[in-house]
Amino acid sequence: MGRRVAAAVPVLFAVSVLTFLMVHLAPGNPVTLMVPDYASPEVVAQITHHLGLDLPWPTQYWLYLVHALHGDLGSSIRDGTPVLAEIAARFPYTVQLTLVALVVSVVIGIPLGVVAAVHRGRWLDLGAMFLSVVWVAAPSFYLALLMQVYFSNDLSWLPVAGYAGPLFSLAWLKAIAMPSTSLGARTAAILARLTRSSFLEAEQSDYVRTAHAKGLTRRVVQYKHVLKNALIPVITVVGLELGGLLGGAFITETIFAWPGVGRLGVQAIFNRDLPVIQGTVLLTAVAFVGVNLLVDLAYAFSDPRVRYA
Amino acid sequence: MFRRPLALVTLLGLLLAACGGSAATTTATKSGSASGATAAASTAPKVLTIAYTDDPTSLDPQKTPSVGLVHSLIYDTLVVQGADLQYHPDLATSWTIAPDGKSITFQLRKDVTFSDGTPFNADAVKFTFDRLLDPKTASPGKSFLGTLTSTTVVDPYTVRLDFSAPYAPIFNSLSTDFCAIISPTAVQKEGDSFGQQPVGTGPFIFKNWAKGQSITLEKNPNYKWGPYYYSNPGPAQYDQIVFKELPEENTRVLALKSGEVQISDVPATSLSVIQSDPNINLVKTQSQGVTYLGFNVSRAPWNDPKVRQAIAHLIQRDPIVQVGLGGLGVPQFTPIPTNVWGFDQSVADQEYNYDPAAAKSILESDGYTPGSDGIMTKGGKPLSMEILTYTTQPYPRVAQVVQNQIQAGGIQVTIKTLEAASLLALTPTGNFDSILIAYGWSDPDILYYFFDSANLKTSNRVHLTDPSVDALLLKGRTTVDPTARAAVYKDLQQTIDQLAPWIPLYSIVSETGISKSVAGVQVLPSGTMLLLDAHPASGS
Repeated sequence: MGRRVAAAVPVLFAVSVLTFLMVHLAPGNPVTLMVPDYASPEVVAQITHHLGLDLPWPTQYWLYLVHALHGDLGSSIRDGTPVLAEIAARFPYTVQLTLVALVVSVVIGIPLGVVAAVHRGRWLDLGAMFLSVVWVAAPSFYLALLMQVYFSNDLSWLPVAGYAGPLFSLAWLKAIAMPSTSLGARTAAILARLTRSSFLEAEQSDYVRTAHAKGLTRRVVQYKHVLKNALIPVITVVGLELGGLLGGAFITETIFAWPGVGRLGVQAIFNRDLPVIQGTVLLTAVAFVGVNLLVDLAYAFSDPRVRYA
Repeated sequence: MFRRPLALVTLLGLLLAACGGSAATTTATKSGSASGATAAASTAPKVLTIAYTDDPTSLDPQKTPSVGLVHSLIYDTLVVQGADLQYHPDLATSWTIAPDGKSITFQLRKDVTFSDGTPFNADAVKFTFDRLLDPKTASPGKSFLGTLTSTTVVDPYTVRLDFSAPYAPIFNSLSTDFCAIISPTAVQKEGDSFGQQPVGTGPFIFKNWAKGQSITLEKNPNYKWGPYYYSNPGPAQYDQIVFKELPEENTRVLALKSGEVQISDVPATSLSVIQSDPNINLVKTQSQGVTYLGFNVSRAPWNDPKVRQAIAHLIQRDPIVQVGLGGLGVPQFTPIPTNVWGFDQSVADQEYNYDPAAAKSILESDGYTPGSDGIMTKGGKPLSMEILTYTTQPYPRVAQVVQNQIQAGGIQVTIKTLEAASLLALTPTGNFDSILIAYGWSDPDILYYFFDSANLKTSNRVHLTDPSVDALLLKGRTTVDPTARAAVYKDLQQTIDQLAPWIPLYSIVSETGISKSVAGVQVLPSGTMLLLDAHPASGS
């Protein structure tokens, strides 16, 4: 376990070096985006110096690293707010959205896959698989727009966009309903297809034949033996998807004006706001590594054959 | 694990609850203050909700590259520019310019206080400009003060600005929110976080900023010093203005239609949807700027004015506006747009008209001959240009229309799109043929930055070096008398017209959708919305 946590350190270090290099190799001085067209060269030089952007970049990276190790991720070069505070303010919203999207996708995806497998080759199977192809293929922004037009504009049931609190209130549910569904649709479709094939594979295994031979009912075999084993690869994917959703909710966050960290990161990229880019990428990497660690643990928990020292 | 699905759900619930903790505190202040206002008034507070695209960089006007509606509601300026393009009193009641043009003395209003209770006086004005000039502030707006050297308090309500050389654009600068007067006590108290807790003398008071969500302003109940263009000097009629961040344009349109916001911009693609909505009015605003095709005049063959003039004769502005902008533009012929002080109609009238025959004869007189494929060629080299523009619409679309028009005259044209930072980094290197970009500003002195040889490494993107242009630009910024100054800019427009480093194309027109439940909104030529007179429409 400890070794696995330690393995995350070089990953995070590499991530920070790579993001730093990528931002610095991209053309364009961030200061030119921060000043009006008509700023004199002296003003540009003054601001560049003020932000420490005139230092050689190995020095800049070293300073960044030293500060980061002291828990200071720097301040936005655009508005001067500390990166950590900015991310801490945004991250909860992304986590809320991601977790609800994951719940939506698990609740829809896994039963859909089971139904399809149990009714293999029949119209229920075809219908479920058709639906999942549509969900995988339709871009999330398209689904989002359709939902906005239908549920907000035509029916006036849900707000078009924006966050509403407090947590778990009716207003919150209404606000999160469309973003989480449009974000979770793709994952639901992937889970449905995966559950179906994994379920069918498990049905072929020896222990299932044994269970049938023992005279267990079809229902008991399917839920106690087949489904339980079929879900092992599904958990892995749920974990991977969770990591992906945490970092990849940008489009959904933009369309639904959700104040999450994905939007913060992309705005920072457009503004060449290096400390904020570094911070959000680092956070996404930490989240991804962390989620994978949790998945491995869940794995060991559900499958006695897997053990971590 | 699967035997305990409930445990999983509970775990997720706990995680969510943990995340909700800090999220709830951000919104708590907002709902707290809102309910406080409700309790105080017997009737529900009047709230105006406005959509905006992206969080402002900072609400400190000296720390932001662009000022907007939020700044204009929190702060006041010494002078304002009216619909007549002249400057009128705001916090300054009157002013006198010294005969040598090197100092201006302002008389200030005596009945003004900042929303934190600090009195507004000459000390506050001095504090504001001293901070803007201070290199430690590193203000993007510092350039607007030009040759300003110092600010002197003459008496509590008289302040003098001293310049090392006359600086004619100063009134325009002072009318923008870059030069808005800020509360000295609040700046000293808040330090670097003044941008998150701004204090001014404006008709609205900053209340709360939930990053990525909304900015809430509350009516300044003591405000009674609104400038001349308001029918009501104050206080405002709305109790609260909520700016709601909606980055996606379709979302903004849907929010406007559903009534979640009362004011929002309307993109050209959604105009028909809004036009047919009986509950929304559309207001047009022409930007005070020009989108232009600029040549890199330091690079052959674009260093030849005849080639540039020939291309100017190939441009038809109406199709560009119709096809490229869906009709939302006003054709422009000179570098100063029609709605900015200094524009000269007589120069615009002499501009290059669409005349392919003239274009052909200019090129032929310059030694070009059409090849078998119709491409104009000189010395075995076909005439071909690359247009560099932004990746965001409408630029690529406009570039395609321009490409077609120039190609019709026998010139090969390719388009290359780059995102803003890369494009702006490329132009100083001189490694390009032409650029299709835009600018916006409310004073013609802006041309100093685009054409003066002093700015070759930065904003003079077309690399123009012309002594007569430099001389006119300098005269324009040092001639304080408006009539004499207008004559300078007329000369300048004529000279630029001859040199043709730019082909001015159009000014963008933007459409703002305003719910019919809101009345009394005015829009200035600068595009600033005036909301002091805004009020709920009767019957709604």
